[in-house]
Amino acid sequence: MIDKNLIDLINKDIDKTISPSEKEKLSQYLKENPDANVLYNELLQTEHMLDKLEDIIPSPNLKERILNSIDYNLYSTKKINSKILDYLLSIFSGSRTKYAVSFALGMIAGLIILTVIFYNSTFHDELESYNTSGTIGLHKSSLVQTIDIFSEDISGRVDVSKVNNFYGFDIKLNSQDKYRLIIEFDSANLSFDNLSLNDLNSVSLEKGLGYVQISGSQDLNYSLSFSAKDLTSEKFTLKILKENRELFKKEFFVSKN
Amino acid sequence: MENEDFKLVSDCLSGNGRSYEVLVEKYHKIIFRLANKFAKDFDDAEEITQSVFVKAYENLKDYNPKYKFFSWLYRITVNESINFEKRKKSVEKISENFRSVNDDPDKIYDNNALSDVITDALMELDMLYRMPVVLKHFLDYSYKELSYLLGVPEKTVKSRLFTGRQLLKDILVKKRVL
Repeated sequence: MIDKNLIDLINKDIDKTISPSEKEKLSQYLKENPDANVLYNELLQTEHMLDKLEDIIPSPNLKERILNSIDYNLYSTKKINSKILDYLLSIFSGSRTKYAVSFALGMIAGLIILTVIFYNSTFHDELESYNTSGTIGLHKSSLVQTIDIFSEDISGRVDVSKVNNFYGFDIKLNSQDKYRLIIEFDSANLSFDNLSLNDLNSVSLEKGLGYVQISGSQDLNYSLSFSAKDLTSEKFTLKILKENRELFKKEFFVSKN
Repeated sequence: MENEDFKLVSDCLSGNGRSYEVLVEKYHKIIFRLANKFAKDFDDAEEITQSVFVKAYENLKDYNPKYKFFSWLYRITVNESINFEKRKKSVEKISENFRSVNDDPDKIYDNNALSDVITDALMELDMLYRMPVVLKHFLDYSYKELSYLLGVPEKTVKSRLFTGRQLLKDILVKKRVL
């Protein structure tokens, strides 16, 4: 059994931290204990042996490999954002949630499409309503008067519609002969805007102060539109003439409401 | 130097990854040499070194500037070497069952290079004793510093150091080197 004090002294001597007085003490002890002296020498040699270990140099690319295995985002602010994103993604990663999210996205997409369709439709209506080259949007207008026409030479129907301060006349007439259709109106408040043909047959148009005249023959289908400056009740007179003979005449009012 | 290391560490924590490259450049060779004293195999030592720097980076926020940065790296190296050896031993245990009967048990003596024999002797030493022997010899650290690195009291350091030296001596005697 080696004395604890001897252990300390040998350690200190090998580590070169021994004081002169301790070194003297150690030498004296080793002289008196040959076994301890053998051990001491072998331990010194062992320590010297360690000096003979070759100094091995690492691979030239070790540094590169180390740097490549570092996650540099660990301490960057982007990482915090990424963590938030990861958290959000983890919420949506469940299968039920996935379906719910898909459904919600589908609904949103559907709403967007419907909004676009509705917007286009509204925009188109406005064009039709306020642009003098078009006819009023029928689906937004209300039918205010229907006039059935029956005479020996001509028959048909005139539908009068209104939206805001716009008036539309949808005219469908059947005749084998030439005729003139005249609409008289108050030019102080009303003005004729447009004629649009709803079939391939041609007509001729004549505009004057307070009236508009359409001349045609055969079966015709066309529309007329008027706009009013002020929203008041309007009086219209519808006449159909064959040559100079009046076949049909009707006066009617369209109230401002 | 310590202030310089601490500044680099602070820079890293502020998101400047380039600062860590400076630390890796500065210490990777010395960490490798130390790891190579704990692990005989060259590749193992490089793996340990790589692992040390990855662990150090991941735990940089826990670094206590009270200690020198490289002492902290040495401490991680000690822990990583112990863990590496544990993992390797468990793998070797499994592979022992499949070892070829043609393996020559005296193969170790084929290499006459003294360095290799001493390295082999060190590897035969249990990690518990190899650590203080290697750290004391190659780093020339005080018992107090070794106490920090090994996480044991100074008294235990002294005791393990002496036992380690004795055991290493016995192994070298057995190998007829002494």
